[in-house]
Amino acid sequence: MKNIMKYFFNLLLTLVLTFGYSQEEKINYLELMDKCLYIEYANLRMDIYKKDKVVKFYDMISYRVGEKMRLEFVEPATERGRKMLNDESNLWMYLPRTSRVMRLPLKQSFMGSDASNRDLMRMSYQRDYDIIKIEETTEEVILILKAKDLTVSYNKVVLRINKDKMSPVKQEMFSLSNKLLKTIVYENHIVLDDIGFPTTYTIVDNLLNDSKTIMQYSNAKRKNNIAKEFFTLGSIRR
Amino acid sequence: MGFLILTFHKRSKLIIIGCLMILFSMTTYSQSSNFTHLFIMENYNEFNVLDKQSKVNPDNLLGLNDISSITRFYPILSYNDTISNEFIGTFQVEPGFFNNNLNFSLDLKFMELYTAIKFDEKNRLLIGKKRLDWGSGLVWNPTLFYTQKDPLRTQNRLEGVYQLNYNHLFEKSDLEFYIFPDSTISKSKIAIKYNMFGNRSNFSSTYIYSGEGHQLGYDISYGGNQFVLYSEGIAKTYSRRFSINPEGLIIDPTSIKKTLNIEVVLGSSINLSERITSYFEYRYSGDNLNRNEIKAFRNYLPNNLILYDPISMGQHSFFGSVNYIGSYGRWSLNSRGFYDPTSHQLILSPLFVYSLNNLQLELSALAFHNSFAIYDLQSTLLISLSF
Repeated sequence: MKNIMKYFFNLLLTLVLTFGYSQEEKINYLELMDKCLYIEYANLRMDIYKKDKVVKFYDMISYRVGEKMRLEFVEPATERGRKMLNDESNLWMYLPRTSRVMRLPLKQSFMGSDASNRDLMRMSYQRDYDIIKIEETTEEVILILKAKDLTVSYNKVVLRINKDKMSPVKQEMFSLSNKLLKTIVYENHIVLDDIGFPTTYTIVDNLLNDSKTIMQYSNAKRKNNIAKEFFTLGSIRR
Repeated sequence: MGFLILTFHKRSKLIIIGCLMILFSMTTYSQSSNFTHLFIMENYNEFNVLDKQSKVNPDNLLGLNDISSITRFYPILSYNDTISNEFIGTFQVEPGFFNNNLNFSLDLKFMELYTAIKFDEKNRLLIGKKRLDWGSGLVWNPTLFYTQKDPLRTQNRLEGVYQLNYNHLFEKSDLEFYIFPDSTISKSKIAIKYNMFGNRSNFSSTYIYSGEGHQLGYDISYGGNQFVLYSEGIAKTYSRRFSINPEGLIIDPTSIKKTLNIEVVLGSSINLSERITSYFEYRYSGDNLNRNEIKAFRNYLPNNLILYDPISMGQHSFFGSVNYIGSYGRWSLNSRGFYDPTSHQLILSPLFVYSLNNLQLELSALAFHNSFAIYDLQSTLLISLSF
């Protein structure tokens, strides 16, 4: 009887320790990063730089619910009224000049910036990447990510996360041949609903030497309570 | 401006003065968040080298100039207001002022003028003149029964169509009912359009009924990471085209006994890189001329110009282009080509677009290679200012 009790005690201890250990090991960094970058409403300013001089800018309003995202262009005047909608696997652009909706390929450059349509309109670490390695320094957790399939824009991503803020600070994107294609630096972190959010993204196309794109978010909200029909093709046509 | 208005007849003058007063008062309030405005001023210039051997325009029968210049001005004003928690009202007006800069004749037409009520996000009722956005085709849109785009400048602002429209949104689809009134009951139309979208694709079907007959249409597109494929087409029980018999007699559309007319467009856009995109489009139009009719058309020129289309008169038409967007999106270079294998009409046209934040310049040249050309060469310059 004593032996049986001892056996069950050992079994229980093993299960508790194993469970506790695996819980610590299984911090879902990708889910955490998706939550960190998730906002349902913000004003977005995009400045495209050439040699530290702004050559183009866009003021937009960004709306999001789940995987669906909608951008409305406010400035400059030539782009006013333009809308973009990403519905998981679809990307459309509404052109007010002709009142027409065009379907866009995801990998096309976003309005001539250093970001692609997919970089901006369809970013989900959990859906697109697997963690293949985790490294740690005193200040950062470094995740080495691999694309789940070839439809994802970048084959490999190195993501650096600030341990204190649990918010991304830098992301490097690599090609299939392991060439560095783009770098995003995340800065000016704020706390939104107890989770860190970087309000400034600096995107550098490493294949171009003298350009960068800076995106600045303001008035960001984690929740916005907009009807789901707002994120439909019929709605952007209106 | 005063001189230009004096050339108008009385009613047009009153309309213009009324519009200007409305514009002035609306822009005064346009700082309010309920008002939005956009002014577009375009100056369009053509420099033409006329084809002196042209069979279509012998001895410049059409009286064309070497130079033409038009200024277009579109003040677009929109007012949105919440009527109650559930209702949002919209009023939008877009007059278009068109001035021929060579003879100073001013013309006005309302491009859009409508009011709409949206109740919750799902339902909207619209009445007035508004553009229709039917069809995925880049150059040709058979489903769009009203104004067709200029294939050489697909970005032109099109004129709206008078309509009563009810639109209901579902989560993955929407349904639209239209009434398009016209001068007579037989010319008026009713239409229904159902749009749905799913994984990487969207599909629309349309049905239009008028005194002319029935028209069924479809529009489908599929998008990948690097490409988009699309198709749109119609089948209709009537025809609007004129025909020509072997003796050169023009045949009226109502005299053409054909049970079904079909028009289909197939197209694609392929991303060759992040900055280079190629476009391809093919159109079959049963309404256009067949080989024998084109032969008759050629033989009896220039007495049958009602059949003339400078881009494509035959039943098969091809369009192809490669577009390169420069760094920072400030400029793009596009090489375009149109070919009609039945009439052998060929047009090649490079297009350069340069844009600053509020200013856009478009420079294009058109080289015509066919026996139906009016011009040897045509070049255009468009300066567009938005504010």
